[in-house]
Amino acid sequence: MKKYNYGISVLLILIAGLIIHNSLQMNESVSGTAMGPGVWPIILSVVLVLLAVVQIVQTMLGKNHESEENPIDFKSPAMKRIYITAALVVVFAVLLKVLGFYIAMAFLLIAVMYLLGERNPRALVLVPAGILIFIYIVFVVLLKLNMPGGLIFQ
Amino acid sequence: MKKLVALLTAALMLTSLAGCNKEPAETTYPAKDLEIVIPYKVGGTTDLAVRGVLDAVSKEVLTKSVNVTNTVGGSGLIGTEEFLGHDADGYTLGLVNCDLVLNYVSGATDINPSERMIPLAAVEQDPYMLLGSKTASFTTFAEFLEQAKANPGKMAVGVTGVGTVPNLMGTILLQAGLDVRVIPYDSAPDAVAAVLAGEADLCISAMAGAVGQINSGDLVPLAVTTLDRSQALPDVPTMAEVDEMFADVNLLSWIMIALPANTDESIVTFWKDALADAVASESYAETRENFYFEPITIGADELESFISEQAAYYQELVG
Amino acid sequence: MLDIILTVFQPINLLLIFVGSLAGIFVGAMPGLSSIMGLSLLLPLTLKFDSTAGILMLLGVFCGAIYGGSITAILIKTPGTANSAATVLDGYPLTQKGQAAKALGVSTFASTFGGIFSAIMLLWTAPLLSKVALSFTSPEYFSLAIFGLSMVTSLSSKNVTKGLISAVVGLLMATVGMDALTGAKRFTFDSTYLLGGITMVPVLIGLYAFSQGLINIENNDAQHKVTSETIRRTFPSRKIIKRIFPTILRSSAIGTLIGAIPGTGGDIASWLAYNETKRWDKHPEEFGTGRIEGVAAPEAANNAVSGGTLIPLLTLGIPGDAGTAVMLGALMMQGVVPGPLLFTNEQGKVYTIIFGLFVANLFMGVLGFLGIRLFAKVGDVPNKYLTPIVFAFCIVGTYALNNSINDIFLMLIIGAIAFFMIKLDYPTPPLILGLILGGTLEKNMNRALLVSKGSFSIFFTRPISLALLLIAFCSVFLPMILTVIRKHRAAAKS
Repeated sequence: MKKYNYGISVLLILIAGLIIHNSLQMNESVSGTAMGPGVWPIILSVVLVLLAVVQIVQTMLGKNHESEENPIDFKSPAMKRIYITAALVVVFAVLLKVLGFYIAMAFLLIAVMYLLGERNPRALVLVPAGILIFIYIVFVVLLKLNMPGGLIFQ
Repeated sequence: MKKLVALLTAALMLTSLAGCNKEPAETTYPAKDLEIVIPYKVGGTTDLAVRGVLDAVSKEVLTKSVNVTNTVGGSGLIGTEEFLGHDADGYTLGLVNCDLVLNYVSGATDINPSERMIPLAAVEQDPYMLLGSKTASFTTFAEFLEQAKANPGKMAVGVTGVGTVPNLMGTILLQAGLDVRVIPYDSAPDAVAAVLAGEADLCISAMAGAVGQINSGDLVPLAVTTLDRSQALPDVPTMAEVDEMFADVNLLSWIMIALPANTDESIVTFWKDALADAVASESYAETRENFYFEPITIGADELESFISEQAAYYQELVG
Repeated sequence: MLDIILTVFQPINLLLIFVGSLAGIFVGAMPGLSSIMGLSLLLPLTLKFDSTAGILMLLGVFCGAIYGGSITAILIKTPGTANSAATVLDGYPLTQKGQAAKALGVSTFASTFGGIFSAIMLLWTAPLLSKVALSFTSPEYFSLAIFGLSMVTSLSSKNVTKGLISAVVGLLMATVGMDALTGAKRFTFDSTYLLGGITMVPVLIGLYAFSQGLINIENNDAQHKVTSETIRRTFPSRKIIKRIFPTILRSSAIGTLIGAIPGTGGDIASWLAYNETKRWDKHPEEFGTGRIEGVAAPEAANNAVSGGTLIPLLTLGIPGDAGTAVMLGALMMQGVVPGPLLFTNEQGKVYTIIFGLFVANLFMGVLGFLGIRLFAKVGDVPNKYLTPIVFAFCIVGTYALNNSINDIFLMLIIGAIAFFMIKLDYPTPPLILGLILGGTLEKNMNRALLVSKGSFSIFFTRPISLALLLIAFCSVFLPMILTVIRKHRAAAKS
């Protein structure tokens, strides 16, 4: 956990620095307010830096009662499933933009079910089809929402 | 192989599902259902006014239905961008209103409504009122002005946020040389609540946002922010009548239904006619009266000139 | 009075309330569909009936939707709106323990009680509470938000520093978008999408539901057998009712009061009620692991908001939130103008609304109890089906909210970040709290300083504001001081 605490703290300090940099450039001369638009984000960023420093100090002193165990095992088969899911979600996002909602959703549903160990082809077709028909009836027929059609099926 | 077949079947099924909205193009307009993008939330005054007009369009004229999409956020800019992102094929309508013009003039958006849209009909036009509490130390707008001049920095005026037209009331008062505190609230009802709670001395709201309090006498309408008096409250003077330094004050809330520029001429004419009838219809008059909206006086041929007049006026105020 | 009761009990009116409640529960339970959407969908339909009947139907939707959100929050960790975000904390662990039916029973009982409590309060205390509503001005809203944020320390008992980091990140997220006071574009990177700010629901769904889906995938055990729950009863036992009664009474009062203050709503009320319950409970350490008080408190509170929020709407004509704004539209369409005159000139209408609210809550409770056996079946769905279903609902719900593909992307990104937050012990509820309260906090601070011409004394010279700040201060520092004193004493003894 220690190295993550240090890493996250540094990351937060960097983000806070960027926010402060960005906030200082906001137009401070906007009329009619007691504080310019950048003041509040700067206050918050300073607090964030302080908290990150506190976290570093607490971790160094070992005062935060955290286990020494590694919270994330990046090489475990469980994490491999997460990587695959992440890749599937990225493919889903691309499909959503290009081929539209239904095809992208069908892809994601079938792929995730397969990943979770479903091998029965009937289930792999029927469950996603059932979900999509349900969505179609509720959201499109009843609620008159248009699901995104993508670039092709506009 | 089995898996592949299954996947393909599923994909095929779903493609056909996705495709069922499509219909072959026909020569008569409209050949399919239409969409209107309202860039404000469901159930708000804009939403209700637009839906009211669309409901009043004769079913004999418009044979297909118009589906409403509410895309909220960014002072209405997100929905407006979505509307203009569609093809100018006449099947997606949108709105142009006072706030959009203001946001273009003030540089908050690049969308120039005069270039990008063709206004079809005005569906709402309402003067704003300056309202004070019945317990206030002033009972007329003239008295408010006197007290504001006598006590610099004492009077607080509740307006709405930057990017909305009521916000310009702060600019108008400050430009007139009054030393008042201008406090922006999230919405007109919040500004009304602030006057009732005593945090602000004066607020600006259209009739619809404060009618309950005006009827009960808890809020007193002191002045109207347009060139002409309000039809609902003919006894309330305009700002210009009270003091000539406000001679050109003409703030009003207005909403028009629009099509993207480059839409086919015949479609524009179709909608202009259909909406003109709907706006003048009895069923819309009923909706209008329930919400205390004033009758529409902007004619179909003066929409463009009205928008450019308002844009020029806003330009003068925001500099 | 009798004629009003008879009006409400006309078969057609009862039927409409029933249909309204059912529709409300449905839209509430579907992530991304809110009561606002339900109300506006039924709005045109209500115009077909006479004014009373239409309004009664909307009341059913109004109540049902708040309750419906708790069902998915408990079962699949997907709160439909921020109203049920606090219900997840103890509701979902109960489901994981195989006690979904018990959690649903408690939430249904608490919701019904909260709703009926607030209807009675609306009847008796509306004029009084409308004065409370008007005593809230900018400094009071600021202090209320500070008080709300003081909860962070107790919501992150494991590691306060990490909880505070999470809250500050939430507050920073709330600054994205066009600043309403100055019109300045903050952290929008020239994107129109970000101009509107970071929307609550995609964050909520990503943070809770999508990240849970990822965890389910990580922990997926193909051999895992689902333990089917045997449901003996759905209505909570007398013992349970006795146990949670003080909780739901306190939470209902909190909900009604918070509801009566315009601009605040079920989101803040449910968190406050959860936190107060935890504070006064004998076993605060059990919260978050599936304690029924943790389900009862937010549910009683958010349903009590329904009656509370009608107080400023009916007495002042001021809608406190988006839901009541639709109600205002609906009332005006029916020719009813809410405002100070409504209670004197149209008492019949007012009492019909109040009595209708009462009946709507009863129907909601009945429908809820009838549905529990069905809802609880979700627990029997194996992970390989449930997780994809949850994903589908995350995506569709996020999209349905505002027809925005970008919202889907935001939800997915937040879900991935939340997965690591959970792994690294950064609690997610403070982030939600920060996002809920950030706007209120900043805007009202600015507004109050405009009113006071830059003097911070405005926050300390007004009694309600001062009291809220003091309570916030005490709830953060008193436990710390007490620990120090105890240690000191222990040291002195030895």
